[in-house]
Amino acid sequence: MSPPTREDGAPLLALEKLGTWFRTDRGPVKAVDGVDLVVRAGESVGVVGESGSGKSVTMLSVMRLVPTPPAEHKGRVLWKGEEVFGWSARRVRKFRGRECAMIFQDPMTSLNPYLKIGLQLTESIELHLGLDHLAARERAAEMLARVGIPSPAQRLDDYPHQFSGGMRQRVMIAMALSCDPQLLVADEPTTALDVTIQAQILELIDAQRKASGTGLVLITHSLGVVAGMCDRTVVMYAGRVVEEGTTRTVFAQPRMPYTVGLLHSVPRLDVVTERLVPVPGSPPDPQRLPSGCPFRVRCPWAEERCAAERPELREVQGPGEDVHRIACHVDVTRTPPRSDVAAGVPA
Amino acid sequence: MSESDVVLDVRDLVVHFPVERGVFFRREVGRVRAVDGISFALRRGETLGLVGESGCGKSTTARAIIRLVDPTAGSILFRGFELSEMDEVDLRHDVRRHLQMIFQDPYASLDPRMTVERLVGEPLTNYGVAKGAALRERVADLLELVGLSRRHMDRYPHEFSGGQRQRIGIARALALDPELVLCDEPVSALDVSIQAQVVNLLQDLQERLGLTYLFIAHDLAVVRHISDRVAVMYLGRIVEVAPAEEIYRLPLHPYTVALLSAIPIPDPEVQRARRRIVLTGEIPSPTQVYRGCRFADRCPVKIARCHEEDPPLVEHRPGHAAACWVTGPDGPPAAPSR
Repeated sequence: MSPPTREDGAPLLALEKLGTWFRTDRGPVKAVDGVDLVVRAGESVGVVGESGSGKSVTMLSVMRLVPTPPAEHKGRVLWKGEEVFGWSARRVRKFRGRECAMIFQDPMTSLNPYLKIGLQLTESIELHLGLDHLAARERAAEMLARVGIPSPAQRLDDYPHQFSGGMRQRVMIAMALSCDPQLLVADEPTTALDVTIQAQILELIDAQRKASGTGLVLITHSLGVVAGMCDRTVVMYAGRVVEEGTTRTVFAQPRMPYTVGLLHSVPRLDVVTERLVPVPGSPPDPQRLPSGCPFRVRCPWAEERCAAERPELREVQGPGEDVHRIACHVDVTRTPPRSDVAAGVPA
Repeated sequence: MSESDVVLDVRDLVVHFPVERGVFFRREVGRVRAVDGISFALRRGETLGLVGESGCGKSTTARAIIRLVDPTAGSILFRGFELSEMDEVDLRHDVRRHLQMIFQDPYASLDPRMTVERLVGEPLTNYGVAKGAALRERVADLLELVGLSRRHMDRYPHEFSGGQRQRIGIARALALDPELVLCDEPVSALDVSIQAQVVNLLQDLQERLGLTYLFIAHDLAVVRHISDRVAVMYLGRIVEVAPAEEIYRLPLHPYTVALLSAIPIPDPEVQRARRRIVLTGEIPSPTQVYRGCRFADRCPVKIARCHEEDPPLVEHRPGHAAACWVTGPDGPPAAPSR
């Protein structure tokens, strides 16, 4: 596979300064705070971040799945140039499932336990593809076969509890791909599964999306999953994109101190390390974000400027023509880190 | 290794849970064979990692050792006591203070209505080790030991982050100066950037206090990093035991080979060049009774014998054993490409 080195093609999805704020008694919580992101047709983008970094809320906002109120949106989301936040409920229904489909983390809570999976699969097929019930059942069985479920025609009449966790996730993938969407959003699709099942599911998503030319946004906290699956990597922290680039660039030459820290803090199977280098401190409280750069209180490179001024995402020189953007004032390739940031001592 | 070096000796441990049916006449209709005959020994100061997927019996093993569940058969020797035969009073009197556990979920394992001082001090009070000002002093020392401060003593668990809560759990486990600490997925509920902090803390404490760890986790990369030896479990059995540095380089059991190949490595160049062995099928039900090898149904290199006879754990290299009929000192034959 050849990852795109330049940004070619018209964007399928474009987020422009997307913000999703939740109103609370103690002021707004900026779960997503000015995210710029472009996804092109057929490309796979990995969004990595820890819990609370805003990676899920970003994509839920795109799907118009964040109720407003209590949330309010800022900025714009463009789907092939159309403004998503301006859409009618009818237009949103066409978008969801038909144009852009989503797979969630927990296949048990995203399937209705009272309905046979055949009914859950055919519902969207009938709605979006306009097939009659029999043809839709045929299509559903075909989709189940595609995701590797044995005797698919019979399994249509089973309930979700009759499937194992891995099989349920296969059903979700079949459902998501059943109307040939142009973009698939997978939110931690394998986090609830065991590693050997995770490998099966990731391979399945990858093969299916390549076969149909579907774009992918993969939301995950696992750097390893992104390394193997995605053309581009987007790192989020405290509701913002802090680093973005081709996967090989971000992993080989991370330039944002948070990404640098994350990559050093996970033990690797193939490399023996005597001691891990943790990222000091804890993830921030979204209600009490520090001024300027939200990572500065944990950052070994932080300068005075980092407290005063919020760093905007800027382009940096990557190897060759690879795209590489970071939200950081410091050039970590030139400046040595300060050693006095107390590792792991909570405030 | 001399006998006195062995802190914990587990032999042929079996933990079965009966599956019952019927409202008035409850009868056993099957058994969940959570742990089905495992043996291992822990030497003083070492870390034995126990890995496997959900349902393989790794947590049940720890719970049986500390007697949160009762073993069905087998022997657990600790400090000269046969734990499997002791009653609750004797356990509390002679054993529990030397044998502690760190739990997975730092949100569920700390009582939300207790202050940090009470949480960490409770074991000390229960065993009458300290009270009053001495108790407060000892709690402060423990908090500092785990990287917290005495300022935190009067706070409640909800005021802390996940990583800090896990530190409180560790301080509580260490309050009575235990010999052996069972760590049951101690970092898997924590954010990625916090995991390394807790792993490093556990390593420092081991060095300072001479602790022995049984480290249970599903993340083989973390287990390999912290352990001296690694035992891989599958469906209630240990299928491979190896020195940590050898398990990635030379896995002997086909399941270990597949498990290792399924774990993504955070390096695009390496990850994309790797040969992945994607196992077909699912982890079978632990209620099933097996004649042969439990992994045979999913094994890419099985032979006829695997379905007939249960393979014993055999040492193929120094300190490196596997329960497999087809493997040898150089590992199992290569899986056919799909």
